[in-house]
Order: sequence, then C-alpha cells, then structure tokens
Amino acid sequence: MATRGQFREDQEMLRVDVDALGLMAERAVTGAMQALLGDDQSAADEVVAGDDRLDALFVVLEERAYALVAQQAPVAADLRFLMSSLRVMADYEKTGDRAVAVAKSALADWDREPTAIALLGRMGDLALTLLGSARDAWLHQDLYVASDLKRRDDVLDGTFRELIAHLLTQQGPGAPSLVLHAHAAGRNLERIADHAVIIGERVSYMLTGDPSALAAEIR
Amino acid sequence: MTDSRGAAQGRDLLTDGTDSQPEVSTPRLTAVSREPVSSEGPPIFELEKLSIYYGTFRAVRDVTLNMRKGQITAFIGPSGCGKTTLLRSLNRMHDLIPGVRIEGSLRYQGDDLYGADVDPVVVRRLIGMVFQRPNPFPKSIYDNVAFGPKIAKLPVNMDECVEQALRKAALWDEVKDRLKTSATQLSGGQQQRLCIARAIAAQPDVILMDEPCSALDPVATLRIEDLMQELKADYTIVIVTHNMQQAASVSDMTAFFTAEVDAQADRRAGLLVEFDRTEKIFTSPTDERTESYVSGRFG
Repeated sequence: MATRGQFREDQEMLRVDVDALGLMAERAVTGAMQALLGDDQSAADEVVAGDDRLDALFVVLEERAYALVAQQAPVAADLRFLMSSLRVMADYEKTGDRAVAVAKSALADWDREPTAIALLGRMGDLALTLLGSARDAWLHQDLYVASDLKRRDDVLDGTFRELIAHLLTQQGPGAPSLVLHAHAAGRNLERIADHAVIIGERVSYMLTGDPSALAAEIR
Repeated sequence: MTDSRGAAQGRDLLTDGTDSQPEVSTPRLTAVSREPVSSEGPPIFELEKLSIYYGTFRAVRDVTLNMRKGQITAFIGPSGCGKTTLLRSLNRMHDLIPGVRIEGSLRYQGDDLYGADVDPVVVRRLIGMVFQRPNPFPKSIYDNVAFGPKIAKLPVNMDECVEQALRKAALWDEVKDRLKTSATQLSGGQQQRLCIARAIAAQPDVILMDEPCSALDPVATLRIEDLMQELKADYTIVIVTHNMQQAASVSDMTAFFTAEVDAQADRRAGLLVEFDRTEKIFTSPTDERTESYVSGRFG
C-alpha cells in the first residue's frame, strides 16, 4: 500500500488530470459553437471524434479514483475530495456529450435565422464562461468562484427563455426545423451551464463539508 | 478509592425502598429498561468538566460529553490522550489504583457514579468491561460465563443464563459440545467472545470495550464488530479503538481526544477535541486537529 505522502501526490495528480478532462470538455463546447455559428462542418466532426478521447480519459480517471478509495480508505477532506472528483469528472463527461449534441444540431439542415443564432451565440459564450469558472474553482479550490456560479447561471437561463419566446413567433415553411434544432441546441447549452454550476456546488461541499451544497446541486 | 463500606453494606445502600423483589435488591443505579431506542436516546453517561488525576498528574482534563443509551460511542485519539483512562473511569476501575482521583461530575442514569453511597461492585456489574487482550479465567468455558451471575447471586437458571450469554456473544455453536473444557484452549477470537459472554452474563446495561480487537486477526475482528452491532439492541457500548475504520464502521458517535500541554501542570494532558455523529467526524470534522488525525496526517 502506498504511503500517506504518496497519497497526497496521487490526489494532486488526480486533481490536475480531472482538469485535463475539463479542458477537453471546454474545447468540445468551443468547437460545437464554432460549428453552430460558423456553419463549420469540420469543427463539428472534430467534436464528435474528440468525445471518444474524452470518454477514454474519463474511464481511466474513474478507475484511478476507485483504486485510491480502495487502497487508502479516505476520510474527512480526503474522502470529500475523492468523492467529489468522481462527480466532477462525470459532469465533464456529460458536458462533452452535450457538446456533441450541439455539434450534431450544427450538422443538421435548418434555416439559420439571425436572431436565433445570435441568442444561441450569447448562450454559448455564457456557458463557456461558466465552464471556465468551474474549472478554475476545481483546479484552484476557490470557494468564492465556486459559490458564485449559481448566481451567474441565471443570466443564461434568461437568455434561453428569450430564445424560446423568439422561436415561438416563427412562421413559414422553415419554422419547424428551425424551432426543433435551435431549441435542442439551446437546451444542451443550458445543460452545459448546469453542469458547471453543479461542479461549483461540488467544490463548495468539498471545501466546506457543508451538506447544503449537496442539496443545492439537485435540480 | 474503593468506598470503605464495601460490597456487603453497599447492596443495602443501593436498594431503593420500593423493592418488589426482595431476593435481589434493585440497585439504585437502576437497570436500563429495554424498550426500543431512538437515535437520540436519553443520556446514560453525563460527564461534566471531568478531570482524572494520577497523583498530581492530570491525565484527562475537563471532559464534558453525554453518551446515549443504545448507542455505540467510540473514543479515538493518539496514544497518551487519556481515552483508556476515561473509559476506565466509567465503571470505577480506577478505584483499584491508589492515587487516582476524579474531579468534576460523572453521572450514570442521573446518579453520581462516584457518590459515597454507590457500591463499585454493583457499578461493575451494570457496566461491564472487555479488555484489550482476552483474559479468560483458567477455568472451564461454562465456569467463565457463570462467574458473574454466581458472584452477584443473580436468581437465574445458570444453564440457561450461560447458553443465552454464549448465544448473544455468537459463540454458542462453536463451544456447546465442550462447555467443560478449559477456556484457555479457545482461539484468541473465541476467547474474546467468551469475555464478552462473561460480561453479558452479569446482565449489564453498558459494555465498555478497551481496544477489544487489537490482539485479534482480521476475521476475528470482523466477528467482534458484527457482534457489537447485534449487542447494540440490548446494551450501550463504549469502545476505545486505535483502528479508525473500526470507529467509522461500528460506532454511532465518535469522540476524538488528543494530548496537549496543560498550562496548569506544564505536562501533556488528554482533552476532548470533538464529539459528534460518527459520519460527521469522518466526512467533515469541525476541528482541524480531528481532520489531521482521522486522515492520518499525525498520531
């Protein structure tokens, strides 16, 4: 069995590697937005292909976290860190899946109505900022950034409602496919932001041990 | 410091006057009733600013905590933190050691455990102790278990009492065919369960356990840990353990002690750092010192 000193190092490495997963998720979202806004098919293809790499790293990290739990029987802060790392890596993995879904919307054939695209662009920017902050909170164990994420998510939710209101006014032969795909993309961006908020709550719990942070992540 | 009035006189002092069973006096330190226990049972031990001295040396200082009926309370902490000393004060084991005295208050079921009218012999029957190393008497298995009830002259059918105690200690099936053989022939784990049976046979309310598994192999340890969970239904258990996982898995409440320099005496004295639900202690302890200890950063 590894020593306690080794255990600290293993935890540090896991934290950095979980952030690598976060970086891959962030790149996937960036690529998906590029595909959506720029009608960039190769960017969309790259996001879909990249998700396999993200999934592969996720499995490796999950196994590593389980091994540390089994070998070290962690308690207190160590326990909260390892359990949180399992949750955070799962949120990054799901973020990657949502990015793939956005990229698939980009690949579909529908009328890129300018206002809808602008609103989706705004949502994408906000989601990426939130995701970036979630990564900061995790990597630097920053309680302030972590607990501020929830508040900032409200702006994105407002934009999503604006998008829905706008889509409901659409008429004409192109409207059904526009509404379907733009709404799907918006919903996926909204979920990406939710995962960022959950990561923030998870970091708050990890740092404070306050169980109310656990309740806050249920939605 | 055994009360000079001793056992013979003590039994009378412990009679509450409304005794309906004249043959066995109902001790004033009343036996706990056996109704189901909620997670927040009534306090069975109430310690307030309890200090324990060996001569002039204060080994444990100012401990205030309540232990509840029907719960398993674990005492953890580094060597020298006073956890065993405190455990032994709960059934007046220190009475047998010259120079040991306590300050502060230690109430058992509302009564002062160290009150002048309390008979330490009755205390030790109601509050049994299981030690670190199994210590069966060099007698038969049967006689070991029957020892307590005989001494206390409990009005029991001895064969039934022995069987029941051995069953409760999860030892009956292994020894029922050789009750007359010497207890010293049992394995370490069996001997420890025998010691638990011996404690149970005396019909206690509380069982104190001082590192009961530290001399046992992992399988025997698991058996004792399982047994504790079964016994919890009938007895309040207080356990001292160095095994963090044991404290985490078997206990409801955990008290963490440490030793720090006592300004009064300029020597290290044990003190209670944190007392909380076990899951709280092992997921998000409040005190930095608890955090360091349970996660193996010191001690």
